[in-house]
Amino acid sequence: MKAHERAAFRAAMRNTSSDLLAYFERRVRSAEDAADLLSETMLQAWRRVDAFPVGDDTRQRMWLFTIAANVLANHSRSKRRRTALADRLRSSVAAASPHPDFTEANAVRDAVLRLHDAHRELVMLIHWDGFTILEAAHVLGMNPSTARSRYAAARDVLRQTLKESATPHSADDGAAAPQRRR
Amino acid sequence: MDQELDDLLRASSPTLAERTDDVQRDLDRLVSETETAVSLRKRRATRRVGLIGLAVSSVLGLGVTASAAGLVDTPWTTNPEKPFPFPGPFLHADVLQHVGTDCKYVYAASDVKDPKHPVGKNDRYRALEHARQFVLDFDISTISVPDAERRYLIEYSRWAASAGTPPDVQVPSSQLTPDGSPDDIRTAAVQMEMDRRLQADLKARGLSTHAVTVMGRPECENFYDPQDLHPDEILP
Repeated sequence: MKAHERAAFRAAMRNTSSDLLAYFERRVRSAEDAADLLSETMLQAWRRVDAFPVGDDTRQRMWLFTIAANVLANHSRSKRRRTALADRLRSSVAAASPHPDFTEANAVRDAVLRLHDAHRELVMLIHWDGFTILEAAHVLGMNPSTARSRYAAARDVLRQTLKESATPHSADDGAAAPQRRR
Repeated sequence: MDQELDDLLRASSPTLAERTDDVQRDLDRLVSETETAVSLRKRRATRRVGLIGLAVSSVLGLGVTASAAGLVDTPWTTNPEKPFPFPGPFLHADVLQHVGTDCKYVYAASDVKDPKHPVGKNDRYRALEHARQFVLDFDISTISVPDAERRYLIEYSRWAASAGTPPDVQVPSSQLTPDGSPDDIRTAAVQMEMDRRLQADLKARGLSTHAVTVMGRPECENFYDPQDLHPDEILP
């Protein structure tokens, strides 16, 4: 890898690191885990540096998020490895993490998290991480037309779920609802 | 409903840790430390040792050109990608600054074969035995790292000027520096200075200065090598 390509790679890592951390923060239980996954993503990116798409910011970002998606996919089925590299970030992210909120958004978030696997990640990439449908399809290695139809289906499910949750409950249901939100 | 749903979904994103100055600083640090760690692990004891071997050859008067042409039969000039024995005993040195406390750099004496200066078996054995003990007992604190780095960069420039610019260095020759992290330069500079002193000591004792050199490599605890991952893991 030439010096200017290495510099571009370094810059892409630096510019995307906060968004990658956010990507993991939205998907794992603890901020510490998010820090570890980010560290692992960076190690994997360096391992595959020869495949880094030079000269196109969007493709570079997609490339890094694709690696992150695979790191996340392996997170649940492989033994988690803590690296010394993430020690400091693990601590500072944990210290800066907000307390759990109990706002109305929780109900919507619950509905998203209850979506079918194939739908959920699309919705999260588009609405939480700010990707377009095409970009989200790329990150997930999915055909764009498949992504469009799945996304439309996911929206239908969400509309229905939120409509049902907005229906007035009986007195008993009303008492139970806050507990469901924690 | 669509706009309302979009707004609801956008607002449903979990709250993130605030990007405080500490978090941002640690993110930046993670980027640079990952690069250094991977660079150190990937290189193992190949290319850097090769550069040092060439630089040291110049110091010893073996001739940069001869070394660059592969006339000095060292493991790194004959096949830089092929692992070669790196036997101890090792000197564990705290010379790394950018990859955290879990990594140390280890140095050891190793024998080399220079066809221009054949060394008999017994002389080689005596030189190697002495060199191993010399490295093991070496006091790193006696090295001025800034001076060693300056000396290393000068030697590197000399080598680059005579042997050609390495393919991944795209800067004017007047600004030529090794394509490495600060830790790369630091460890290589210390290694070269140790070798310089070893050769002087061998010479003073009447031992061969053509049989041994100092080599180095990183050793990291609690840090896995991406190269060691199972192929099923991670790769998109």
